[in-house]
Amino acid sequence: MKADLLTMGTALMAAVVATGPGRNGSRLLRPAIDSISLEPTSDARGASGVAVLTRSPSPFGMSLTPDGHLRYDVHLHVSGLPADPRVYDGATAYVAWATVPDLSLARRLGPVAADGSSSGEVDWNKFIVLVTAEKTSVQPGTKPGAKPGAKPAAEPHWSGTILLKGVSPSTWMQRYGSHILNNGGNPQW
Amino acid sequence: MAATPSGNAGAGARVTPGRRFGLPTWMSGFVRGVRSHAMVTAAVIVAVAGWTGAATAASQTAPPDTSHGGMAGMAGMAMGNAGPSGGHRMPPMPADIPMMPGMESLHPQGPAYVPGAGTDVASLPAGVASTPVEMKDGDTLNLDARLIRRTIKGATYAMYAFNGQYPGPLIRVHENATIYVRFTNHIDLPSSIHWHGVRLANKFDGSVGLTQDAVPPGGTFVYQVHFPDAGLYWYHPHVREDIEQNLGLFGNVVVTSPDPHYYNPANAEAVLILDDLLVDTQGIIPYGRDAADFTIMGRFGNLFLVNGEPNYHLAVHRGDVVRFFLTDASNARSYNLNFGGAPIKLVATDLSRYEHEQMVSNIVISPAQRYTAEVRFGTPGTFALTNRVQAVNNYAGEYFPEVDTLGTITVSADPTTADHAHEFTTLRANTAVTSDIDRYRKYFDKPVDHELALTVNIQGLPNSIVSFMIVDTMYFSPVEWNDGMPDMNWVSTAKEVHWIMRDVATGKEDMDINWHFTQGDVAKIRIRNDAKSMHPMGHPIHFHGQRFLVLARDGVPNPNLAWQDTELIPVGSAEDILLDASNPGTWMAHCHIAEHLEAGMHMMFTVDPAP
Repeated sequence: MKADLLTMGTALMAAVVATGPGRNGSRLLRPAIDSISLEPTSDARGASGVAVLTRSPSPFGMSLTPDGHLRYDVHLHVSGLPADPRVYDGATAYVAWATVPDLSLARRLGPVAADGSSSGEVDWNKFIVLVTAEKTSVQPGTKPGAKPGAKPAAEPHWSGTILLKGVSPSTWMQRYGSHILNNGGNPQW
Repeated sequence: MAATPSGNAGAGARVTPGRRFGLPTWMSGFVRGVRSHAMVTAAVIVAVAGWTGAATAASQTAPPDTSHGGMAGMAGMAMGNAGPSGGHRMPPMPADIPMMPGMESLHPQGPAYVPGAGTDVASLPAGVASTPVEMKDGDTLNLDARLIRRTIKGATYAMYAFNGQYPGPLIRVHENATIYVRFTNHIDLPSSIHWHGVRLANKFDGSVGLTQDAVPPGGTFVYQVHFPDAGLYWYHPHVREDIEQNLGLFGNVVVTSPDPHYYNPANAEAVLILDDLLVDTQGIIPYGRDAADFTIMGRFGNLFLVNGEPNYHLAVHRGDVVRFFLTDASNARSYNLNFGGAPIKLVATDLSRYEHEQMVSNIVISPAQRYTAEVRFGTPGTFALTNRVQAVNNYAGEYFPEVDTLGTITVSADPTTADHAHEFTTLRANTAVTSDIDRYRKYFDKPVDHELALTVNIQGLPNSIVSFMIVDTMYFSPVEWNDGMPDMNWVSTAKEVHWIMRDVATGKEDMDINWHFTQGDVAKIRIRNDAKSMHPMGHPIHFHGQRFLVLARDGVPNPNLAWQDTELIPVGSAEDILLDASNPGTWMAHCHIAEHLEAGMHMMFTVDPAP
């Protein structure tokens, strides 16, 4: 998955860089800050989805955990999955999850309803949204508020087939330190 | 004793309302002329692109007046040490965030400004802590801005202060009182006083270039300030806030309601102004003289101050409830405040209480915002007042937890003398607030009257910075909690960075905008923060002289309303506010990140008197 991200990131960055310097004010190619495109895996060709991020309600506008993590409400809309999940090794339900980039933690957002919707809350800096086919729709994930490095939930997180995946916009944050400009290279635009 | 309101006693600078922000066209074409491989080192950049040469050119010609307040009176003010850097010093880089290559020889365009430069700091009067002043209707307060000496954590700085106090005097006044403030400017910059959030008479708003001329050094202006709404307010200059406010020219006003039960019972009150100062071992990092620096993100400090002190402390008894009045006077920093895990009841914001009190675990406050919150300290011990955020390290492309300890609250084992635990855990519905808002509910579903887009135009920064900014276009946090790349931010001035408020319907920008309302109008305004601009950033938008409700954030209705004057619009968000155009005059609306204001992010609106 990281390799996929790298490839996609490189392509997008190339597109951005192609706009060239000095073209300030142009509409730069950039992933939406409030939605995640859910791409199908090879097990769910033809499926698609989007996870829309909204700020969790807060009197301050910005909803933060006490340690400063942004709290998002995640609203999924998926389509194109087989009506009967049993095609996936006897699964009984489609379930939406969030996980951190190293996959060490998972949080069950909720089952995917018949209309393709699901929702939940995420408060990680960078995260991945998944839809899986599960034999039960009630597996507990990491408790809300758990942070990377926390002890995983006693029960396993997803165990079924991963069907859709997408990364949070924050995952696209660039690393200046690894950029060619920072290593004496020639960007050659 | 009542004083007669007067106009400006001296000739100050005035900006013609509606004047367009001057863009630094003298730098156009510079970037495209650079060969690609010239980006590798700053030396090459300077040699090829002539960044330093551009600075020289700028100083030899009259640069555009980029200040919203006009800086004609600054021509003779103190500069930093002369030299190739114009007296500028690069801000210290945070640990783990190395300086970017190509930055070594860069510095902001134009000369630096250092307060009190050439003055023996030891000869300045020492600043003293703020003193409350109770004012009655008709009273007059003499308020002067002057240079003072502050010693903070062993380092001595020349700073500004009202009446020699940090913060300025805490004014306590009753609702509907009118006071007079005779302001005398003893600093070397033109200045004024803006009464932030107060729905006062237009000509006393302190908006230089719009409602008054700047008060020149040595000049005087008498403000007549009427306080129609109970709440928490603050005052600060409206000229070069990036300098004057940052150096200490601010203070609070607590306007008390005649209702003795306006707030819940509390054992103590504490008025806290949050601020941050950017320093290194040589002192305060100099400012831009002709144009604000740090204009991409605003100036984030590395020395946190609460009421001007780095180690705020409060001692209370076990079980005490403390009512905190909180103001963010920082140039750019938003905070996520914790009281060591003590429970917090959110009571009020800028101009009013909320419809419903609610418990929160932390308080998010942005520049110019105010919150009133009650905190109960139920167990003995030490509770840290902290700012806890997920900061960004742009070099690594990663977040990291940042915890800034702003102070401590020591809770003794002795029990409180008056236990308000029951009242604290009871969440009141403020029917008076709801009743007031009820008069406006018929407007909640009206069409949007005006739509603003918040965006930026950047022209003429050194190629190395532009290159990294172009790379850094894939993601921006909704709100910047820290400065993840201070070296690049520092170099950007109001000559290269133009922050924009754009009227979507007309395409007009900034001070070309002058919406017209009639007193009594209720206008729905949608403010959208462009996520696709060169460098989007959250903006705390402030409307002068009026009040507004935040109806919806990203289409989600706000379930708990209160009257505000400042609202943070995160990157990519659209918020609908309902403006109560109740106060006649031509007013300003702007971003309250001081450097963004200086970089053009301000507009006008006029409320004509009701016929």
